Amino acid sequence: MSPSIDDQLRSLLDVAAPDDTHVEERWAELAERLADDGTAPAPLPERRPRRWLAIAAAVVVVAAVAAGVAWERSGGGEPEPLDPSSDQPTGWYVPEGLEGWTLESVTGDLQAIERRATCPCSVTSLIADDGASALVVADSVAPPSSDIDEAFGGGEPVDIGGRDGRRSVEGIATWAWIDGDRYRSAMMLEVPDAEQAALAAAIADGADVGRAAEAPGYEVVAFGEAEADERAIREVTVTMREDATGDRVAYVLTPSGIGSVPALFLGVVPEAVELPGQPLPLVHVDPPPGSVFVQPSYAGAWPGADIAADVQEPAPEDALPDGTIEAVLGSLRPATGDEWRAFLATAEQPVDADPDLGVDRIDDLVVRD
Amino acid sequence: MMAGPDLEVLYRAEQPGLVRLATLLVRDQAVAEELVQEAFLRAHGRLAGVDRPGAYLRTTLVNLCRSHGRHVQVVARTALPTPSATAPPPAIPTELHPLWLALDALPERQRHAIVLRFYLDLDDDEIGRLLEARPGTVRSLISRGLAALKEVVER
Repeated sequence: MSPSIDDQLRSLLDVAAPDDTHVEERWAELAERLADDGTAPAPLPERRPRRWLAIAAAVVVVAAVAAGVAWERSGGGEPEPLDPSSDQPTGWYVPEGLEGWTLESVTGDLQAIERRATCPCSVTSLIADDGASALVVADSVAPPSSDIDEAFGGGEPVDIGGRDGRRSVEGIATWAWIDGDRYRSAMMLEVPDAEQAALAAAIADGADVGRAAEAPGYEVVAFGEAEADERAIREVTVTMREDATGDRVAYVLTPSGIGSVPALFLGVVPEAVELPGQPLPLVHVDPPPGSVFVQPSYAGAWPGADIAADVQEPAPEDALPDGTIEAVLGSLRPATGDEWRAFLATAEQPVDADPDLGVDRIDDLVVRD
Repeated sequence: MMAGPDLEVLYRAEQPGLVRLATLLVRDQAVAEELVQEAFLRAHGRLAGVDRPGAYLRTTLVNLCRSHGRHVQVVARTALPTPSATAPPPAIPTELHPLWLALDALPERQRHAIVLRFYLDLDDDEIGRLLEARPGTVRSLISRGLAALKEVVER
């Protein structure tokens, strides 16, 4: 008689949990960081490779936006500034005129990134004119060997406009190729198989580094680029609570470049939307049938920061009434540093002081070399 | 504020278990170790009045793991190819590989709920507190996760 699934799971988890947790060296690192008084995160240790950070290196894009976030609603080509009048966006957004809600908490989670080897880099998100399909195109530094297999890690050889490319053979369709010292890839959602090769070739023949990727029949909905010196960012989560119902809505702000991508979290095609009261653009994703994610998810590349509604909460039984998230997101407006600090002062729960989230710009929370 | 020897004692006592838990939640030991460091950094100034610092750290850590999962979903599904599943650690015997891969493929919340139940033996209420879900939701997550795992294992 074979063991029950419960017993098998317990056995599996017991052996999968590591024995050596490097407690001695990790304690030494922590002690050193605390000795610095914890006023700023110390440089992150680099002894061991971090696979996901390497992935992030090529695709997490933090734009230094002195003149607004690039954004374009129609046509291809280089995006136009969203708000030319906003010459120094802080990246902070606070509710305005949102009656009956209380600021419950503001937290800043450290998200390490390692991009020295793969940035400067950029990411472009595009949606088809008919809304039926979507693309995410990334451009980063190729590995020194310029070996597509090293960059892609397997896949099926394909011709991409005369280039030696690779295509993923399972999961979401991804095409990748190397142009000189650049590694480029295009993730395709709901693009018919028969059209993928031509589309990949069109993208490969299109824009250069530093410009939004172009694809015929697709509109750019977000674009960002990053340099190599960012080591970590803070993901700032603002949780609002509706007084009458206790319902919570959390919105997450990150330095420009990341928020444009979460719209593709769930592997479904996002839709460009305009929420009542919100002049800034957002994309929205309807969770696929059967998904544990029931809440509409929104994301946008706004001046100075990217924004996303929390797509993981609540669970189905906790679903918020229609319009709840939309009410909060619709009320958000750009804030100055002083306005942001005044907003933080109203929080019910203590706001993180280490590091101080009350800085003038969210970009000030980026840890750089 | 807890500092010096007290914190060191706490760290040495709690870090191994926290790293093991985080590794199972995020499926990457190096990331797990970073998240545990972050949990201690975030908690160290607030532990003085806490009755159960280990539980406080665990709550902080699970929150960080959930946040990390959201972030990874962003980066992993965008441009670079991502392995469809995490390779089983060498310590896992071959006969458990299908179960490992099936667990890896579960939606994150189901996977987290199952790890918290079958690794830490937590009850529905405690799992719900950690995942910010109602006990009924936790039962549903575990039930659906187990059903998916059984389907794979019994093939």
